[in-house]
Amino acid sequence: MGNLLATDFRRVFKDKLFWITAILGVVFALITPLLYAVLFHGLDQEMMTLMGVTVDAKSQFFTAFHFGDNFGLVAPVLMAIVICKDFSYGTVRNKIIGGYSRTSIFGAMFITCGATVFLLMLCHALLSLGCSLLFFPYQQGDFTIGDFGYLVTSLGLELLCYLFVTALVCCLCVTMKNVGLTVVVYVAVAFLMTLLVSVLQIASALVENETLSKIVEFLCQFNVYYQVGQIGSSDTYTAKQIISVVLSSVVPAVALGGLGLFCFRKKDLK
Amino acid sequence: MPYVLQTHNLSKKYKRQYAVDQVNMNIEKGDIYGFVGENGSGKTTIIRLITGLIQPHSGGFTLFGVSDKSSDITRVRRNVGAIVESPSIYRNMSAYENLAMQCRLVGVSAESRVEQVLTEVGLQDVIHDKKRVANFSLGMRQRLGIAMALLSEPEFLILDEPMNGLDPAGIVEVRELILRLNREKGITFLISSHILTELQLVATKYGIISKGKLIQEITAQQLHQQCGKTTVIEVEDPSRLLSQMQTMWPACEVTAQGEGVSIVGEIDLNETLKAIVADTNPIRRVQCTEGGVEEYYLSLIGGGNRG
Repeated sequence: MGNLLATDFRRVFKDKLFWITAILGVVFALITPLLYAVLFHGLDQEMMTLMGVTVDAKSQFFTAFHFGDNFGLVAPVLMAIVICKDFSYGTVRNKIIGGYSRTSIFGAMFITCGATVFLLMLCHALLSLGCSLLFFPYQQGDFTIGDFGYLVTSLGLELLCYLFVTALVCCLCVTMKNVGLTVVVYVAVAFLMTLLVSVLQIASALVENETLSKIVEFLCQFNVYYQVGQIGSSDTYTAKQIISVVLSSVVPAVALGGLGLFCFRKKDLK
Repeated sequence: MPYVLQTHNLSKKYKRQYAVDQVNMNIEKGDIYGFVGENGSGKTTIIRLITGLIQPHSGGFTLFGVSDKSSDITRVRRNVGAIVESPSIYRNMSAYENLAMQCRLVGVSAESRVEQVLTEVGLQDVIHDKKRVANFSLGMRQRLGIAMALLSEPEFLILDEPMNGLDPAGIVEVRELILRLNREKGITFLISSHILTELQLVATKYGIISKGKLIQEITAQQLHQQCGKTTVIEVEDPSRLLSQMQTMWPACEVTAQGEGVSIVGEIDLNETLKAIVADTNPIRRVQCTEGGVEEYYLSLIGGGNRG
């Protein structure tokens, strides 16, 4: 497994696409706070509150992790292309003939993909935070030790959400074994899930029936695309919030990972 | 002689059609096993089954005595090197980088081994070349694929169409490499090829496959005896000659052919002619031809009654 991981990481870092993704991450991290600074130039915090807009470095940092849009959508797609190359080049055969089990090959692929995507997103978010701090304060109040705990918890929850992204990418890679199809399906899933979140949020505001409202709320809570948007949006977490994030990310991640592994073990390779 | 590979009623079905149908093949240590068959006959499917890329529908195989059903099969596969269809290489990397990656995968030190295998396959010029493999010719990629298969110093090397894309000089080099590795390191080979005349120069044993079924396994020596020589003798009374030759050369295949008799196999021509003269059956024509694996294969596939 160690050799497999070393080989996988090496091939990812040797791939031009990885570095293009990293550059895109830097560009997105620089442009977004700059755009906000230009848009809200001259407006003080009170005015922005009146407009219903919260622009601070903290929100910029956590928004950077959203995987329904911007770099959060781009990074997993580009990583899927890199991962899929093992199938398009046929190099996955070398691993099987080299005496590695399909389980360990899938495991190494999962770890490499997850670690790389999360590393890219973390660097992107940190750069976004740094750039935002040039124009905006971190948050409205002072930064306390409690805020630090909140930040660490949030990063842990983000990691769980990215576990879902990794499982989805790996599952698509091994079932499709085709770069184009993997990318199309991944983007389609991201758009559909984001759309579903918007529809459910509108529905929750409109629905008056209590039972229906609870169903809509439950569907929202169980959508990882909704949950990733909720991380970092307040100052503390309730136990219910944490459980919701954990369940909405880990359950589908385990299901998709399991499905991917099952398909990879059973499917014929060219 | 211990077996490197034995298949037992190995079968693979795609939808309703058998791509491989109850194949029983035996490869002994030190063999250079030539795998002969038309396009779509199931050669590559068998190679994929052996290398674990696909699962058999029924039947199985033993590799170095370990069953494919055993969990040890992945460990045993480390003694196998293979090129299946086309070499599996990262096209965005150089030859050296590709081999260094493979070294890490098979757990050998890249430093000395990469240079050694690149030299062995005649790619010593690209050792320090940063050129990406995507820009290599087909022949160079084929050689790089062989180099990758050789990295782990396998005891069993499976080469699927290794001569594909090679120029005449390249074919000679690969042929000599196969013979040298077999002679010096005792590597057992399974080589599938369409270039039968080329296979004839290296193979010590043949497996002839058609429509998913292994029609025949034959050693090079047996093949030489079977079809090394065909003698056609035309006489005044062919029917008398047929029975005479069948009695005289029971190990050979004697068949009626036009106004004469065709004898496939090694015969003593002097003794034969003396016997015909003694039988007072006037000889009209005698023709001797040397055959090979190509003729033998065609006679089998084309519905001939040999073998």
